[in-house]
Amino acid sequence: MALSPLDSPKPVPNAAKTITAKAKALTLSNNAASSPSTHASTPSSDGPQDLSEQLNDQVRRKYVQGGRLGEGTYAIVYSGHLVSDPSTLVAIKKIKVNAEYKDGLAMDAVREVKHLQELSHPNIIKLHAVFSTRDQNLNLVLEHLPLGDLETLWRNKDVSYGPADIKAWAGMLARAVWFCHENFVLHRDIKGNNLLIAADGSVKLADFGLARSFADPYTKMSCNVITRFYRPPELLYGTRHYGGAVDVWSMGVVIAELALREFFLPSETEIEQLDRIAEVFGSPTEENWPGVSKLDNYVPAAKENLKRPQPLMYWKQRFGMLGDEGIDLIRYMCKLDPRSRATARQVLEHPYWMAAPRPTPKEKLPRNAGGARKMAEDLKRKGGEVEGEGRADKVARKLDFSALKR
Amino acid sequence: MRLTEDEIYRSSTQYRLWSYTADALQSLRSSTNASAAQRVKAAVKRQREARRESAYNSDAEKRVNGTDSGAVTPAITDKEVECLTVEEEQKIVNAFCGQAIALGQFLEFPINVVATGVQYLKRFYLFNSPMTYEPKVIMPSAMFLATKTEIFHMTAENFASRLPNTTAEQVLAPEYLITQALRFTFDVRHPFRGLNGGHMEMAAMANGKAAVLPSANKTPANLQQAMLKLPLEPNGSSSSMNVRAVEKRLGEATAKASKTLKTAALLTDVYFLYTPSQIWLAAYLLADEVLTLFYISSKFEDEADPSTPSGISKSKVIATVRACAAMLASHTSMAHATEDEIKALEKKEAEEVKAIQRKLHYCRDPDKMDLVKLNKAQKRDAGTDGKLEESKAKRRKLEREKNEKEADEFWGPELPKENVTGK
Amino acid sequence: MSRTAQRNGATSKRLAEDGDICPVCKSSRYLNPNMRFLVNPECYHKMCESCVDRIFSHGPAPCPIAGCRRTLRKARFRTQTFEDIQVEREVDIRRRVAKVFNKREDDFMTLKNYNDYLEQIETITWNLINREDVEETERKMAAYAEENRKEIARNESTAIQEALSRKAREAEELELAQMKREDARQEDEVERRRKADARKGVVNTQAKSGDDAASIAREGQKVVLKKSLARRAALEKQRDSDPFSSGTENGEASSGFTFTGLKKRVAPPPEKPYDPFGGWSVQREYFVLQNHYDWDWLSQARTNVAHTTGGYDVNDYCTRALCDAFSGFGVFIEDEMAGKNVGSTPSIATAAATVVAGGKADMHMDDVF
Repeated sequence: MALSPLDSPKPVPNAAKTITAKAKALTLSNNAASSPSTHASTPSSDGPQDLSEQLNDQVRRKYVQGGRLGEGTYAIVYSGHLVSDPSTLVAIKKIKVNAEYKDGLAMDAVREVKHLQELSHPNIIKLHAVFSTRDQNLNLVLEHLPLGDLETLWRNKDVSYGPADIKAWAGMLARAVWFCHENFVLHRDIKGNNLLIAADGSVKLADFGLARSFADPYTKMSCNVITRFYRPPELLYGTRHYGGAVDVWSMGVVIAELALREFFLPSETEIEQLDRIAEVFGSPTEENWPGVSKLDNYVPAAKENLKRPQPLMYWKQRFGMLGDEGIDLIRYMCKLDPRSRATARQVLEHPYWMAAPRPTPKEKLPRNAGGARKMAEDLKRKGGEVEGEGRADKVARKLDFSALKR
Repeated sequence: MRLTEDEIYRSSTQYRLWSYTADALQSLRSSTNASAAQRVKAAVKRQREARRESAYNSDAEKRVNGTDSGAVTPAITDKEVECLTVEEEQKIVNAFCGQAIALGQFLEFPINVVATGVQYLKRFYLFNSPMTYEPKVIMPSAMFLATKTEIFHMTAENFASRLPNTTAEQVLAPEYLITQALRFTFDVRHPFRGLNGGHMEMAAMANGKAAVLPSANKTPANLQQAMLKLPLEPNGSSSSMNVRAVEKRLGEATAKASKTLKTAALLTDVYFLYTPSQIWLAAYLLADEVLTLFYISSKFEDEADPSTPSGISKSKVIATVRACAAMLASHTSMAHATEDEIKALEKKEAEEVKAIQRKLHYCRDPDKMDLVKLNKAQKRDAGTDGKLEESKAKRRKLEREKNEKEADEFWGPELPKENVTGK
Repeated sequence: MSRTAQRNGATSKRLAEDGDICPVCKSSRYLNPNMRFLVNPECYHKMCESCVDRIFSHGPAPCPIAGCRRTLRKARFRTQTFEDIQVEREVDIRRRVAKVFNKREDDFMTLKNYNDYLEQIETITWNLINREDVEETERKMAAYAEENRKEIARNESTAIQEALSRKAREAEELELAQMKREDARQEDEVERRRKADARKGVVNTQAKSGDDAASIAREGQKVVLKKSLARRAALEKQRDSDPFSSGTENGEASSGFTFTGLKKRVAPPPEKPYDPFGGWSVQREYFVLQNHYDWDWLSQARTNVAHTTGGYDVNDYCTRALCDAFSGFGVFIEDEMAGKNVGSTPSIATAAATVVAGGKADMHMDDVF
């Protein structure tokens, strides 16, 4: 009887419970005490389960759900492993059916499942299986990525890393984005804490909650995507037609953060974000970005605080770790005009990757203390949520005295 | 890893999970039908026993209190329930796919939303039978799910309001079943964009500006010349047209093919048996055979039976496209007949469907009649079953947060620790 | 005369025994206690330091001891480590020979080969010690040394590596940790200074100075970080420096020494150049993308400002359209699915049917996903 582990001496508690519950729930009016069809008991007059339900149970029984790792508004993450081979660890992300979303399955759950089912690449998180449990929640069986994410890595003071490590991580990130764009998928939420580190040290792009496929001409797309720190200027100006360049900008900011070990363009509001961008890259004008004045939220900078792009000295001083080619690549990825910005393929064809120092092999990359607790934090976060959004931040804004003119 | 167009398609779930050989499809449908028939018969028998018992003890009560109710319990016919056959199931499913397309047009949905909805419906009825779940209930829910996966936002109320007497809940109830039946694969690859791509490349060829495959060793110029001299009818005499005429011919063929893709392709099983590239080429073949064969051969050298560097033989491609075209042509809407003949055909089909629906009325699975109630029960069961403390814990957490928020409004938020000690 | 000479001889013998008389200048340790004797490995004649300075400081000169015509150099003189001059000479010869023939056991296939090798080395050393055809052996040794310079260097470095005792390595790690602590301390101090400036900054708006304290602090922090990083990188480079050269193992035909059973030392494959695409590549099999398709439906999107400024690239759409046009062009579901399906879906169906019909079905199924 290969199918059900129920006969195994140590019946897994919750599997057994769900089976009997399922039987009771489904056969509402049917009072036949027929236990689920898999039991070799008296031939039940009718198998209460549809074929698809049996398939679903088939998948569900392949995984044993372990302890709860973490919980967020969007999902609860459990550790787990294969029944057949307890050494292969997995993370089970149970998407919550949030009450106020009255339209059934949440949009970002649909998006995440849809795109993760299609993409399989060593630098993109692997979706092993999907199943639903009795309470109609979606469970995603994802790869086990215990070593935290890139943001906690550069925040973590006792982890020290050099230019070669940065090049290795940046390379993996660039490959993941390139693969998405070759499959005509926009990730639209690339940031430090969506890049999780696997046990073997490779970086994996996760959280496809905001992803969508490339749009056909004349179809509008949402401009309220990507976490603010990593949002390119064209989205801040509210464009509804954009392409892969939005992901390339976010990637540039992430690599810059790796070199700086602090946020590259932090801001409180979208206006301030535009100022931070202007400080570094100069104010967007018709010269450096033809047609920008026609975008909806564009506000031409007043004559006196028209900012000029930072000189090379600024870059050399702040981004010494990247070397000259690295600086050139970052500036190529963060051009104001999306058309002159690098595409994902051009990023990978840049000489930076070939220049010395050679990227460190992934086994030798420095590691986070990490552990399962950390993984839960990363997996359960919903797209667009910056970690520091605790109540204290809001408090600071309320008590802002500087606004009161003396 | 080499990412060619075929590799990209082979990594899709449509190829991995939803592609079947013809007989595999047939055997899957027949087994689904068989299992559903079994369940219906069992359920109906159980229900009759239940009714007979309730009728029996209600008689006993009446006898006990001496009153004999006028209404004699209806003679419970023990006639064996007559279930649908596989063909009938197919007919009714196709009928509802047609209705789905009509609904899509009525609600002005873009074509990829309608097409995805129809495919969800067909995939759902691969593993379930109309006897278990009524297509009338499943179809709107499949269309609503398609609006979500194809990013065409619409709230459930708005969707339900535009449908005759359906509530949002009725639309959402079967969604869980559909996602499960789809085995959580929401991506459907359509041939529409492929048709546009093909049209673009052929237009470029007509203008002599086509970028030619290195392996096919042709020059844009002689491609253009050959194209201008293409006969109108297969093995007809070669015509001599100028570029404008060829472009007009392209336009017509593309329009015809597009119509085919929007009707016949959705209502037949081509999505399960062929790939999107072969589907749009088949539709183009039906629209303009000579042009399609010319286009396909432009991808190969000019030998007898050439094949691409990776070993795909031209004759095999053409044979597959022809088979797919045959399947598309088999659909009534494509029948080469006069207007009223098609009308008569469609009327006859409509009657058949009505007959099947009447028959279906009797052989529906009593358990699954009301999905909304079933859903609620399932959720409640899930809730009562060992998850009780969890929801209580959640309620407590919500309360705590609520009165925290109230405290905020009244007292204003507590001062962040840092400022206090900072001074 | 003879008695005094004898006494001198005796005293010199007795003194010589405890080495107190310099044979060249006859000054004795008794008169000047801190006299040190030096010996030269050429002819192993002993003399006092002052004589060496006197004679050899103007460049190489013949040995002052009567009858020895060797030219000696000042630099080569050293204090004598062994009492017996013979032992001193033998040790020098053995050291020199071992320096050239420094193969190790794991360079040989079997222990026997290694032992044969050692025996050959011993015969060479013995010849040198007993001064048998010294020139021949010296020439061959020089030739061998010349040929296997890289090999010898590598053996030497591995020997040093192992020789580096655990204590030395621990000392080094200690230094690394200490440096890290110092970094951390500096960073905290910079952080505190930055916070103080930031607080000061909030109180008096810094309209006046162009770049605020924070960026200076960040510069300071940057400079600190860069210095410590440089130091750490240097240290790491020195620790695992590995003059590993892929010297190929070649025979020593000309130098006459042939050692059997040497393991073939395969040099590690030269590292492949780094492939930024990680082994993945995109090849279009059925179409070549043109940079311009003039199709009126598309041309508006090329010119419409809302599309172009936002970065919408019509060529992306063309690539996707053509890729969709040919995705699956060469995929024949009929044959590719023939094998696969029999395995999974129908078996689910048939199994499901039997299960429903009450029969116990052994629903083994390969991985659905």
